[in-house]
Amino acid sequence: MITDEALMLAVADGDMEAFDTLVRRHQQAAWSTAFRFLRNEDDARDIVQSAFIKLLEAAPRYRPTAALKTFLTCIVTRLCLDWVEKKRPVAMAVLPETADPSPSQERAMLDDGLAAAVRGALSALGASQRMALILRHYEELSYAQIGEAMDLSPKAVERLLARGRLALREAMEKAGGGGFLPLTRL
Amino acid sequence: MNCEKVQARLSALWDHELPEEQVRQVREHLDACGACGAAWEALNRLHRALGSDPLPPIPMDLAGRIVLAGRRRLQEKETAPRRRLAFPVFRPALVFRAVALAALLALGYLMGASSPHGAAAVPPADALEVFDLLPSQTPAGVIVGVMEGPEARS
Repeated sequence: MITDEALMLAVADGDMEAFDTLVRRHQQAAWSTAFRFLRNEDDARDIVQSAFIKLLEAAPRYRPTAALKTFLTCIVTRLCLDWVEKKRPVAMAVLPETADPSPSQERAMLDDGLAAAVRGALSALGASQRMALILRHYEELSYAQIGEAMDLSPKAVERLLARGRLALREAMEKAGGGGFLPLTRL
Repeated sequence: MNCEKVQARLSALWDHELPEEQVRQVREHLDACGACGAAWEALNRLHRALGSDPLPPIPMDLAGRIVLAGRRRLQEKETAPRRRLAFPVFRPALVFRAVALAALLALGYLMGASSPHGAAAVPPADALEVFDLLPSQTPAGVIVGVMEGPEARS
């Protein structure tokens, strides 16, 4: 299998077949991060497309000092955080009871209660905490890699994740999801 | 290590990001403390819950759309007019033009200085055109006035 670095060198020379291979190889990770963070398929698709176009434009300047996956995650993460910064969406801790739910809400209602509770609790977190948790739990990045993607020190990532998990537990206990025990008060 | 410190480290313990020495201390505390043990269990449940949230499939032909958009972007870049640089670069032709202009200006200045009436000098009265009813400036030292008395009559 051709390495990512070799493919990027080919992309830098204008080889669009190499770009196609890179996209197909990494689209799942980019999609996972973008969708879990934005919770909207159209927005996530736009972000993933923008991230790969940025990768294409960066190809002539790319130096294989870091793994390409980390580089791409960095682009996706920053695009997502910028997106939220510009749109400032209203976070929903619990699903609203409306007579005419949107398709995404409808899907959430059909899912089992635990997944819906997780989704609601994640949406209620701040953007940085949510992104750090997604990168750690779903993408399995190290603290150093998350720090690189979010422009934070590993220690700051550690604190962000600890606070994020605590907030997530609190939100889930409030929602009564997952049979969570009451929080231990210190 | 007290409960507060232990619970603050549970997240890093879960992520295998805690230094080895602290791992041992935290684990020893967890074995002995029911409250911290319950917090550790809650963290386990939280991660199982996170894992229960499914990811929808990637949209149909997302890769194809991205590659198409990439091709378009490259074509746009090729056909777009080149931007001018913010800072001028060294160009021999420009330098030659600048030197030639400076030489012409210097020559003009020297020719003006050698003339009896310099560039900034007030034109002499005899140089006034017939349609100059009055000179725009009164020559210095000349007092314009109306003469009265016997001298004027003579």
